[in-house]
Amino acid sequence: MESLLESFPCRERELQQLQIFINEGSELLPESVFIHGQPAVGKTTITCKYLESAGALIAYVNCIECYSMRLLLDKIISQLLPQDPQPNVRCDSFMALVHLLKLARSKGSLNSRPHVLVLDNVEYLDNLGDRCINFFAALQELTLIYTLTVIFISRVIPEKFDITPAVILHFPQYNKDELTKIFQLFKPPYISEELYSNYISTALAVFIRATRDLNEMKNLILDNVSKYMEPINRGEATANDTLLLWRLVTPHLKASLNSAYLGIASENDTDPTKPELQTELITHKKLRAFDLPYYAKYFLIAGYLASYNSPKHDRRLFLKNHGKQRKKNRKDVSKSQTTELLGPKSFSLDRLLAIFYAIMEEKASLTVNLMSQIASLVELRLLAKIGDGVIDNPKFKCMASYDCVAAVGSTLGFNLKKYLLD
Amino acid sequence: MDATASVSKGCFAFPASAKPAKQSPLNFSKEPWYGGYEKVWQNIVQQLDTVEDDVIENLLKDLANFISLPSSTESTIPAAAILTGINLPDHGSLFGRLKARLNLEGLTYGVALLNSADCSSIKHTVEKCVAQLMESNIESDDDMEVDEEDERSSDLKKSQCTLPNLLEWHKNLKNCSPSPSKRKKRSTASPEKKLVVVLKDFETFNAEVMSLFIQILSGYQSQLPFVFVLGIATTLSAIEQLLPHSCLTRLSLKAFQAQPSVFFLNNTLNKVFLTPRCPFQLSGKLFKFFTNVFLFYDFSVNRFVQGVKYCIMEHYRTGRRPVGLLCCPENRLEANAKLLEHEDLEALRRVNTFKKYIDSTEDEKIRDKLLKDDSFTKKEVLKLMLALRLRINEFYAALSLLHQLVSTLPRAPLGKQLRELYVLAMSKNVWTTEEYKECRQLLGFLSKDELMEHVRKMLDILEAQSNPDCMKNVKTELKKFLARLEEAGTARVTASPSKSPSKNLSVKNRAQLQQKLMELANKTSSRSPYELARDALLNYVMGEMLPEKLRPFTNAPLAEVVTLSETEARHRVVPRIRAPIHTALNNPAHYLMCDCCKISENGEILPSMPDLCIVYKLHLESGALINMYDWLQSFNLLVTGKEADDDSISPEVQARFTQAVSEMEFLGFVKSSKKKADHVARLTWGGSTC
Repeated sequence: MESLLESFPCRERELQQLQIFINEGSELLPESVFIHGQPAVGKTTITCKYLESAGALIAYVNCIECYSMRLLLDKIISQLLPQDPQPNVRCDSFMALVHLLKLARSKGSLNSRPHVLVLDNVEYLDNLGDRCINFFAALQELTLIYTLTVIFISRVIPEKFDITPAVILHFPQYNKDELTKIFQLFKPPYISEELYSNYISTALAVFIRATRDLNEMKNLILDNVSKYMEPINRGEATANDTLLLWRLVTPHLKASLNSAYLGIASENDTDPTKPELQTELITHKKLRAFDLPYYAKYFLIAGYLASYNSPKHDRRLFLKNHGKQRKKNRKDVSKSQTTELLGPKSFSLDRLLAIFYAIMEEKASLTVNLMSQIASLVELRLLAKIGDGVIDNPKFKCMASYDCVAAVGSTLGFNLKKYLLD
Repeated sequence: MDATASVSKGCFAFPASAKPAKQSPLNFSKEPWYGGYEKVWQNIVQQLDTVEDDVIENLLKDLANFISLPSSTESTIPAAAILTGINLPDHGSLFGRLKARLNLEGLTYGVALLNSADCSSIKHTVEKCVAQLMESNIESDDDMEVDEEDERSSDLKKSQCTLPNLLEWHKNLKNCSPSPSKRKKRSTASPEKKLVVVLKDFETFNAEVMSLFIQILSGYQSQLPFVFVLGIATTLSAIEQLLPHSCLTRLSLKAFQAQPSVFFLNNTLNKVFLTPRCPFQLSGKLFKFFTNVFLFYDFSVNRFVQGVKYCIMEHYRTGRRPVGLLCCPENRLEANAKLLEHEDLEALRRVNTFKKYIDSTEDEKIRDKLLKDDSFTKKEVLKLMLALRLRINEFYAALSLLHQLVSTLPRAPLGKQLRELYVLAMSKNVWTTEEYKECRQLLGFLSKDELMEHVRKMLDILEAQSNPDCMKNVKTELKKFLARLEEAGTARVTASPSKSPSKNLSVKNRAQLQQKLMELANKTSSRSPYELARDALLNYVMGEMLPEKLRPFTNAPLAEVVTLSETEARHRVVPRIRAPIHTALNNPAHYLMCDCCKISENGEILPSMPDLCIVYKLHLESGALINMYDWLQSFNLLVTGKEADDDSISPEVQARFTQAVSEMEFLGFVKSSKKKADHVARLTWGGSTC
């Protein structure tokens, strides 16, 4: 227990609660335990580690991977009843499981020590049927094995499920102080304690706004330790000069934060034999603009214009003699702002083609190749097809962002802004 | 297969593309032209393979490195995101090569290539992935001794393809594979083998399935060394759009960039098609058409090659035996020419350029001989073909010289790529164009260093020619010019006023100033030796040499034999929309070529037509909603020839009608309507308009 407390700081309360309900000698376990909390707060890890230390037999099942009943039950059986492997026994239903457990009980194999069935990500059990979770909640009652308990672990609060677990445990999110304490555990050997705690407080200040995910933060923090040490190693700063170090490391931290959500590994560690490849990898901006065939580019632009301009303006935008321009009244402006917030509107193939030909200078004959461009844009999720109505005139929506389309437009020398009315 | 009787010895790959010829009903594999075609095409396929290998070599090396790296953290799955560009059809070969390479280097236990089409649900995804991982190992281990062979070689059932089974399998494999004998073979520090999961078209995967899949695999990461390879067609941001944050944190991504597709094209063209070694040459128009399809439509080198393949086939088919024999690599020309027979020579005599050549021969006797004497003609043909080859050689050499000169000019009036130059030079006399003149002018401003560099590079190009006799005199001329350039100083020849001219620039008004300046300008126009040498060089290269060598060889006698100019290609390679379907259904005789269905006018319906056609033509006459009963009545009337009362339509006709309507529905012309009972909705309008 002490070692557990040491390796999992800031979780004393939860561990104690677990200890109350399930411990080594207990002969009567609670029917079910429900543990909930945000991702990466240690629910699964702490539960399993504790149960191990308490000498319980754990059957751990991650419900996310149980897309069929068979998988779920097979896993449970193989872990709960490891001593008598019965490869020929088919276990397809809950009652078969109950039967098998009862059989095992009558042989006296389940009574010796606590048996715990841990169901992780229990919200995914819904895919197997509505009442799945109710069965597990009543497993003890059905099998009459009192040394068997079920622990549900979920991100969702228990009230969302139709069960009344005997015990509900909440794992709260770590706050900043707790995180500091936790990261002390991961101190690399080459950095002094004081320097490391300084570094952690600096790094946490940057990262805590972006993410609370412990694993992600750990990666970010440990990746940047060397950056923090760099000025000291080069002799530009001393270990005591916290302010200077802070100033030097913050840009690095912010940069790695930018890619935090993509988790793109930094490229510095690869060999420099292929410089031309490397430069292309690092610059994110370059990767943002991508290459499309000539006509596909125009289709994308036409799709964007069709989605964000209302059809009544088309005549004005794309025809040379569009007649008189009426005065704009104020109401229109406020209206267009709200329509913009509504996102892209759908348009028909006709309109797309009309705009396409209007913005293209040269003529392209309408062939299969041209039409397949639209299909490939849909495939790439730049356009979205709506409904499955008439094949003659399907409807689309443009899913690309303004920046993306504007970048594509600039490669053609096409000023997208000029054609947008808002 | 006798196609391996090529000059080069080695392994010959016979891709599936060449095989269907055998089974096709129009069996032409024995015909003489087909032999010639096949030899040439096999050669091209080999070259394409090596070129592609070279291009993606770097990428594959990087990927293999990445995959062999030990995973840094136990909680995340390493994932390589390859930005492949949108030429999706070409990706198959890229991933195929990746798989082959990984297997070859022994970096993996197995590779699973997943298509989004196979992965509609999480169950399918896992089954497909596990099955491929477990199977791929059986294949690769065929020659190795593995204990569990008997256990695994039994066909995998779908229900067995689960991750727990994979885990078991992996454990078995791990325990048995480091047998002592194998350890010695490999280096002691061989990296841990991985399980590679390749998602070919990442964008089209179902987001929900994907996130579940990643979360499931990450649960096994501590026991199973998974590595993801994601093929991304657009940008990296596609990943964040598709996956939720909880999944992204489980991947440690690294981006790789494949070469842009235009680079692929240029490389393929320059190394395979636009060389004098290539036995056939594409006409300017055709070539431009294909490159345009590539640049404007699909970015797919694969389709480009297929288009060219079609044209070659057509060329050989229409050219028959003489083309099959003569359109071949240069070293086989002599042997093949001997095989020409009387009919072949007759066919050759009808070729336009050869006719012209005969007409233009002065000597009456020779002309007669060319028309009558076969053995003489045969020799003449061989002579002409060799001359043509030489001319093609020179053409390409001159083209690369010109390319060297003009590709780096500001704004590149003649284009930056060799292919652009080729199109120009093939379709017209390039030296008469405005752009050529502009280039000449721009070249006149080059500094000495730049020009010397150009000349040296040009000499290198000539040096690299396979045929040493080709352009020999050009080489010597260029060498002379180079020597002259080296010697020439940049100082002016005539003594220019050393003192600043501004001193005696005493002018009173603007007109006077202008005049003075003009005079000054004229005075300094005297040239330095360098400038003189430069002009001489450029006059020679741009004025004499290039125009002579760059004459399109399409005018040379027998050029038709080696140039592809398929005029119909446009419609064959880039088909029209819907029109073929409409023709097929409206006028089945067009494709069936039967006498019974010939129609005199468009709207005519004959009972002998297939049921589907009758139903289709009837539906063309109706409005947006079609009454099924009326439709059936008119169908019955047409088929049986008599009007039926209610209920008296024979079951046979009803069945035929039902079948035809369901086929229509399958083709997407109608669908059942909810608006009105017993009606179907038409989905197309005016099928004849497109």
